[in-house]
Amino acid sequence: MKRGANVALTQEIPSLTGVVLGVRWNSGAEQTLDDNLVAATILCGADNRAPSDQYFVFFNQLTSPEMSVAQLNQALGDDREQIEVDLGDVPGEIARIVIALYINDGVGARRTLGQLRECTVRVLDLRDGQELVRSENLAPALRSETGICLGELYRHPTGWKFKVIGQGYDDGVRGIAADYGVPL
Amino acid sequence: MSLDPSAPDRAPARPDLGFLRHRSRPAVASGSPLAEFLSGGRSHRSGAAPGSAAPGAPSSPVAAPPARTVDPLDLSADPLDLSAPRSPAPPSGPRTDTSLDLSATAPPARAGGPTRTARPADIRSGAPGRQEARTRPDVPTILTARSPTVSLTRVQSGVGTLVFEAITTPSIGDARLGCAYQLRAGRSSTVQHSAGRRTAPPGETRRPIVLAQRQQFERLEVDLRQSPQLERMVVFGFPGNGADIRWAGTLVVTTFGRARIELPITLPPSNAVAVLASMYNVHGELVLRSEMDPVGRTIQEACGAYGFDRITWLDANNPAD
Repeated sequence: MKRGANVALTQEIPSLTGVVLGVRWNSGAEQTLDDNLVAATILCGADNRAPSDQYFVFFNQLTSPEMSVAQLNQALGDDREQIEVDLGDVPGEIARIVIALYINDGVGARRTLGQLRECTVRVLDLRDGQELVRSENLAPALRSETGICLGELYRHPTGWKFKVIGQGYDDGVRGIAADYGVPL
Repeated sequence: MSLDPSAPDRAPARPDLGFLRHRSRPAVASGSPLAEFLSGGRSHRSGAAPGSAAPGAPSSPVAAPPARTVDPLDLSADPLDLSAPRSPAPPSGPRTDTSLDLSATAPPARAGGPTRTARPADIRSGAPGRQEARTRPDVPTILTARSPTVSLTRVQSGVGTLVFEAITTPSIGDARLGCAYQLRAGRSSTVQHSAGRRTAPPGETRRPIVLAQRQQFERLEVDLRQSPQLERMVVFGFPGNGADIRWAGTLVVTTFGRARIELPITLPPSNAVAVLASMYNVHGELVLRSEMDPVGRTIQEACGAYGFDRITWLDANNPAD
């Protein structure tokens, strides 16, 4: 799937009850970049904003409050990070679930996502791990960005859909959090 | 009977299998060490009665207090680890079944099990019902003797860096900043910019968890990408030249989201090593506490008083690692 493309998940697969969002990246020899990459999931309401910081799911907050979205401590297979979404348990007030990747602004030298060789997001069936869709490699278009929104699950009158976003942020998680109303 | 392995919560109850364990929500009893600590009523330091080490009210204006000889309190061992609720005592009478389920108060499972709609609003919390002090946007949080603690959210505790900076003037003397830390893996040591010990762990220059720097003031930066590895740390001030410091100023802690936490330094003039603040990782939330405790003549004494008993020392102020 290219940037901007979307797919009607539950319309195509009516029996789909949950998905796994898998994130893959290849940072080559940039070990510092690799160490500081963080995958995060943001649950947003109809206003495109997270109800609170508890709806920011990442390594230090592995589930949303009602546990409909859970990040695995250890991803299965070749993904670097995996987030499980139980579609039936997502609260009704949550309209979209955005998955992002950012560089933690830690101590030491700064890195950018432009150093990535590969960056993709894919959607798996939660029941059997079968891959449903996969994004194109989003890395070639990245330059000085330190954060990127990879894709989103969102409600549609026909059911849950998935869209590849691929939007980069020069100000990393700070910009992502500002766009989706996550208090840092 | 057909079973749906993807929906264990809809599985029928099996009262005939008494060995099946019931998971119950952890609870923290009021008056527990954790509850007292989070509410600011308990000092981390061993031998200190709750409130006795209140900031701004040291027991006496000491120039060089004697070393504490009480047993160090290593809080990693138990008192604050309430992640697993203590089960009530089993009934004293003989049991008539063979159940291995010791949660005697657990109610019998209803037919069909709990439904998903019955989930509490937040079942992640390990200490439900506790009311922690939080930072507020655009308003500095000031930690005082009356309200010495603040809890950062999991987001504040895991994004970017956390910066400790001692804002003072040169007129107070040669005040230096350092910290003692303990990692989840058990490793403990210190960071002191003035002694050239600038990273935690020592020698880790590529990806330190703690980095000491000196800009306008001495500062400590904690890499929050690695916060799950950090068990606790204390920040201390000490005289670089051994002379008295006329303590004044503020220890300022700043989150990545620019929340500002201010700890006024309220200490009598002294050449002691003073623990200014402590920070514990409680269920993924970093809890800061103002200590303002002139606790020892040397860094080794100060670390010992706060339970850092896994550090081996080259001399009284420098670890051997």
